[in-house]
Amino acid sequence: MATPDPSDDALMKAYAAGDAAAFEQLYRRHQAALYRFVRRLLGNALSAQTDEVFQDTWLRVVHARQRWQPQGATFRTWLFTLAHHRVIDLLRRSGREISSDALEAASEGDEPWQPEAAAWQHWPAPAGAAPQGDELAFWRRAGEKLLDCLEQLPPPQRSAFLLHHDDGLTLDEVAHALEVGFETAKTRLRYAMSKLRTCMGAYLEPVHR
Amino acid sequence: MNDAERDAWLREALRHAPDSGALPPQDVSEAILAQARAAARNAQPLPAKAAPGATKNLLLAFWDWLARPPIAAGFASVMAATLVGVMWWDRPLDETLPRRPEVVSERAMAPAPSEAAAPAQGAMAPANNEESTSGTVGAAPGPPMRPDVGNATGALADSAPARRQAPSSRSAGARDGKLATAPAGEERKRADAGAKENVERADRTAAAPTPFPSSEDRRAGLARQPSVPAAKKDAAGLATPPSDAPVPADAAAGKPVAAEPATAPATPPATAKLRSQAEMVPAPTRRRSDDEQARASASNKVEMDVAKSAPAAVAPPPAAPTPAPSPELALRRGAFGEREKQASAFGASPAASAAPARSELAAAQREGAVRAAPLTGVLGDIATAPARWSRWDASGNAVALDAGWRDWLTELDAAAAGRWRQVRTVGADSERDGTATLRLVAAGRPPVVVRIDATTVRIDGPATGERWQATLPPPVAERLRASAGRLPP
Repeated sequence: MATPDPSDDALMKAYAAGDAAAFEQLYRRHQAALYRFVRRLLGNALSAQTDEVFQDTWLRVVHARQRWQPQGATFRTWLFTLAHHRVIDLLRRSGREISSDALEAASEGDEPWQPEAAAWQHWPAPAGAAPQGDELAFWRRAGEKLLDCLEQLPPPQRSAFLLHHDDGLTLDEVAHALEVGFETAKTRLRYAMSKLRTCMGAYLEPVHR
Repeated sequence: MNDAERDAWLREALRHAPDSGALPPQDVSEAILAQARAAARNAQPLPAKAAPGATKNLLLAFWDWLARPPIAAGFASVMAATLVGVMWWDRPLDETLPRRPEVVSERAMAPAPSEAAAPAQGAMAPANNEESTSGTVGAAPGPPMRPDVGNATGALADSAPARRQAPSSRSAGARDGKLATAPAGEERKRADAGAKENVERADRTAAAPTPFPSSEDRRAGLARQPSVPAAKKDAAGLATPPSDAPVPADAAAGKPVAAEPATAPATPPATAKLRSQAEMVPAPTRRRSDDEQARASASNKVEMDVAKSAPAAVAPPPAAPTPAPSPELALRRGAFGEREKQASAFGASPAASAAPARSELAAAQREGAVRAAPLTGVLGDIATAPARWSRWDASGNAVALDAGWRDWLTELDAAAAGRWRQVRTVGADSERDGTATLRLVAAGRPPVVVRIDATTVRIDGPATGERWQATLPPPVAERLRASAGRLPP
């Protein structure tokens, strides 16, 4: 019987104590998700900065190993928080950041636009572990369209959607990772989903026509 | 279809996105892992590296603490004191310390010609005269201690209580006429005990900082004076004859010993003992600077000389009276001069500026004391060469000085002893009725005129331009005038 893998916090403590193998294990565990998160959050325009941001995020983890304390958040949440800060810094420097407060104030009280419910009826059911044939091709095209739709989302909503739907963080963890309140995180996620549904419904509907 | 189902579709689409399998480049991963391993290797020596940093921080904190004004001022004071101490480190400290009795005793062992020739000089006001006068006559089983020994020791003890005590003890001794007959062994034990106590006190007070001149001045002073304070010089000048010498009653009673022939040589042990006792100056005196001590000693000595010379005039004229001062007086004068030199050697203090004036005053007083008996010299000269002397009679003719007038002069000299004082010569006094006048003339000498007017005796001309005056008790003056009236005019 194989021993259960140590938790992220235990590995981080071990690395802080000088265990390099613990860091390698942490890296292997989170490298793909973090790299994907950074790349999707940066978008196509800044995709060239993905490696830099990704490396800088991990180096911050390395340098902060002595000071790291769980403090109510998991290592994964902290890792994505570091990456999010670096991306926001990069977006600010590039002038692409949109004030989330202005965005939220403009849309406050308004119900996000919802596409027609009929549009979603043409979507196939969520595939299993390994879709085949046309179904796989459909989901690939849907994925490409979703990435395009993500490009249209403001970074705060984008990060909320990615953290919640791609990386599997709960709303609490999303709020903690984004260093915002729970309701704010929830609102951001709701707006993000509404826009994505509209965007994706408009795209997918003709497919099945 | 609800949102949950649509969100499931969105997640599925996201999972099949083209970048879903994207991984960081291999080089990036290698770089990250390499830096992570390097950091892990350095994780162990981190505490060791923290030590220099901690030390540095500690030093910086200490420096910040030291930079505060009160701390900095205190530190600067300590540094200045340390610097002064280091600069003074190579200087001989024993210059400022009181001399050990052994050292002085060793010096006393070395025969000094002047000291050996003048054994008995210091019949000064003793602080411990009470000891010498409190004993009973003839009770000394051992060699009696000479009174001048105690006098010398007491004179050097120039503390205020000792000075206050000296006249009363002297007068008490004179009244009682007792001899200093305390047993010599007991006396010496007492003296030794006092000496030990004084040595301990001096040692204790020697640790206290004493005002000292600069090193050059001190060295110059040491070159001029062999590092013996004036008090020690006094003690050296007060060398005494052997302790087994007979003690005259007058001396034991506190009377001056000026008339005593100073022929007994000073024995080194006794001298050393004396010096040791003289060294036992009380602590307050030790704390004073040397120049003050020298001046105080000189002044004290002058006072003693003046006080002693007056009783000496009362004493009958010696067998060979001479106007020149006695050898003792000369030696004392020499010692006084030496002490004056010593006192002037330390002229750095402001108080030393008054030393010359005080010196002149003391010299004048001393000279006055020497000549405080103006008739003594004249009588001595008459005794040695009576043929030279004559007197003017009432008609102004020179007649031989007969024995009656000589006896009258001797009686007058004895009656006026200690009362003479020199006065300014204003002019010739007119003789009033009842004035007895004797005009003496001698070949090669100015005339001497002796007058008794009421109770005042005046003598003009024992030296050129001098006038001496003494006030006699009325019965004595009356008796002298009456006897002069019975003599041939």
